Amino acid sequence: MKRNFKKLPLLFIFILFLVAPQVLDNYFIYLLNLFFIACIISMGLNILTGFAGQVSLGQAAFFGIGAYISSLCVIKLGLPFWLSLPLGGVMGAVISLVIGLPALKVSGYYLALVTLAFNEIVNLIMIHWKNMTNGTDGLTIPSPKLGDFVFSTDGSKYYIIFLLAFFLFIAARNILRSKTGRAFISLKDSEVASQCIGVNLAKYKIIAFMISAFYASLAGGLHGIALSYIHPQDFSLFRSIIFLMVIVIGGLGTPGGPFIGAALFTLLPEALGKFQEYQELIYALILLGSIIFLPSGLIKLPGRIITVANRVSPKRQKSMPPA
Amino acid sequence: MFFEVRNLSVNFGGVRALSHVSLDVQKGEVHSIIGPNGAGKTTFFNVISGLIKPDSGSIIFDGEEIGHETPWGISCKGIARTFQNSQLFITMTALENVVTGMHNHTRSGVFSSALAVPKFRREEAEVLQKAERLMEFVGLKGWERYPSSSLAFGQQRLLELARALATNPKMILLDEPVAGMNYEEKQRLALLLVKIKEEMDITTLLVEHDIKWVMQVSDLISVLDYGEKIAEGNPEEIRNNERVIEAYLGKRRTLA
Amino acid sequence: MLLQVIVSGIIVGSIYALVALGFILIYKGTNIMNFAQGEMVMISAYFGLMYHIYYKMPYLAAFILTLLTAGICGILIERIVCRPLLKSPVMSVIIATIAVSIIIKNIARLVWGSIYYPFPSPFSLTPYHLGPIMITPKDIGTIVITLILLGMLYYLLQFTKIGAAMLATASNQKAASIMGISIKRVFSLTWAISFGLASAAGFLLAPQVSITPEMGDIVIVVFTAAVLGGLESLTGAVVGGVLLGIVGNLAGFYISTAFKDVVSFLILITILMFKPSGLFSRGAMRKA
Repeated sequence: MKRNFKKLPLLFIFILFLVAPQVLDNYFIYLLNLFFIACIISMGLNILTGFAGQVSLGQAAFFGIGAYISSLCVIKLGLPFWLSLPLGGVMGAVISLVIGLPALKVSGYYLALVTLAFNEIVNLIMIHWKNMTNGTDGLTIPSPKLGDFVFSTDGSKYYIIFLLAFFLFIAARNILRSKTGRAFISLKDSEVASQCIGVNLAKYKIIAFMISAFYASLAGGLHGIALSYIHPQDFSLFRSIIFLMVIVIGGLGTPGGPFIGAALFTLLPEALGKFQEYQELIYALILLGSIIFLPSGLIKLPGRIITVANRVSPKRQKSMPPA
Repeated sequence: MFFEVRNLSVNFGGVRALSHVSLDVQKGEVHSIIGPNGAGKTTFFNVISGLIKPDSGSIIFDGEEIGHETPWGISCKGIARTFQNSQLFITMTALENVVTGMHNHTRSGVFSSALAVPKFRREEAEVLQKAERLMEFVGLKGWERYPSSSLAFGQQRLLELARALATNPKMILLDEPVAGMNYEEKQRLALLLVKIKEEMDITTLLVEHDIKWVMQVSDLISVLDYGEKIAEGNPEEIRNNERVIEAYLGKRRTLA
Repeated sequence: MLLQVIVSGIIVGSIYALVALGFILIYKGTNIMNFAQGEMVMISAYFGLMYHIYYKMPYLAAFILTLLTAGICGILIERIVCRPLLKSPVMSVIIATIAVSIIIKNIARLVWGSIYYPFPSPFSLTPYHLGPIMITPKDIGTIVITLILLGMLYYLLQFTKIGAAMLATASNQKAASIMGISIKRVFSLTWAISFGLASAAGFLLAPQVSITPEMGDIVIVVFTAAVLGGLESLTGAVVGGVLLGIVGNLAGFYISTAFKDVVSFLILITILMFKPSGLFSRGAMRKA
């Protein structure tokens, strides 16, 4: 009986999101699509950076790799979306070995540089490989089809995006609660002790990179579907930085952080409206502010407020457990 | 011989951390290593656990040469360790630390975890139970759900011990296990070592500064000074050994 | 023709060298990798623009004033951003300096817009012919100014008390503070000098590329130069910068201009993978 109650809020949220498109305006559905895509990337990056402790400024590259591969499979090979999406994801995971292997030798600043360079190279390839990617003209993507049904509206696309996002969410949550998740956290907390317990450092660093690349690539494929158009500018170094920003501001290494960050990232451009051109600046200022004042992220903000409130009005001491 | 170290030497850019150290440990023994600060004791442990590669010499464990193994390889062979400065997984709870210790004895891979298949769920339940029993064994019952960083220092050492035991080792290396403990805790740990030897059939190699405690728990004691082994024997022999006394009280040194 | 390419490579490389030097100075001195170095170059170019064009100051005066303004900015950034983060993990610092770079770039965009501002050089552009190569007084001026600045820095570090304090802090912070050196002051000074070097580079670079907020994007070349030289070596940074200038030009000439960018990144990844300690270091020290 207890177990069923635990799953109730999740079920409730699932149903809520499931019926959302029926009642919401098209514009909001479009926003939700972007939100879920942002969530997927954030979850993947959270596993890599928040839990396994590996810095990566290259996530936009995988976002782009997934977008281009998935779209090109549809355009040039005529594959259906439900094949091209996972294909993009798998390719992304395989390519992630390019930065996963150097990650075994370097960490911290050096790793940041490697991933930065990787992102720039991939971006340059996207711009210059005109035959495949159409370069700076961008690529127009046809709507996904299932048999005779065409997913042409935001509402129909919503279901593809939401269901995949939800599935990936459950998978991520399960992974983090398992042996693999513990291995990641142990790597971040104490590489030395982790190894001496028997965690194969190399293997788990690579797994972390592959999982986050898989997530980012899938998100990229969905991005292509949602916007029906992709452009190398979407996958620049700056994008990578925003992805990192998003989870840092939301709360690195926390279960809820990625979603707050993703919400902020999706809503902010809309909330700014006329002040769009200040967008980057505002992001960067929020980021700087949160790094300096709230390093554990916005998600800890309520907790912080409560702690401060407690200090002002002392409560009873918690009783100690039996010896 | 269960565990042998032959002529082990380690240099750090000109500084001789360990110089031709040889050691024998019998199965089931409690073998202590003592010596003044800087004698190379922790370096010795770091080499055995694979964190540092020796410049020369060999380490043979249960018949196998392990001198050039990776740390995780050594863990698989059955050697576990604790650390001088607490290396707990601080973002995890106490129980999770111990559960992580069972890493090599859980089979579930990334995919079965992601999909939470029944086999994975069963394994998680088993592992949780075993971890709880280990925490009880070391005397930390009740502290399972607490963040590991909230434990007192002496308790943290016990937690590291539980985590090391979770790897199901044949031999454990304890680096200053009683540092920061009061008299009762030290006595309890001494009893625990006996239990570990008799109930779990685990050999113990330890490094410690508390000479009295070392004399109490050890079967055999080796003494290091300036990276060399200068004496070896049972507690009685070491207590009266001239060279050992000189190493600790000599003109250039302060009491350990 | 090859010689010409190499010579131009040396010229542009000397500008890279200045920036790389500033970058290493901060890394060696304060253990921070400053991802905003490129933006420092860019914003200094704008300072120069203001002083020289808008306020119509003579070149030399504008140059010196830019250096001073840059120095002050360096101190400000160190105080506001780096001090609070002294005890934070590496990741926070990376993110912070990246955030700073984005902030600076956007301030430039908002204040001056995205148009190209041309910047004149006081040296003439008519080339001399030195055998097979053509070299302009501007190029010579660039090299001369670079050498002067390098010389001044060398003098500072080797022959003055302040320089000794900086070197001491760089090699062992704890020991330096025990000896009575104010670490905080050294940090501020390090950032000020680094920003100053970046500003000089900005001044020299501006006539060549025209001033835009995107000027700072050359920074990836600088990172590569710094890593090439080994992040612990100041001379390495200089050599790395010049080397990359040459290699980049060669790649641009023989392969294609697009490839010029890729080359830096490829070199960066290769070095980081196989010899992270750079070409000029003695190899990684063993951890005790």
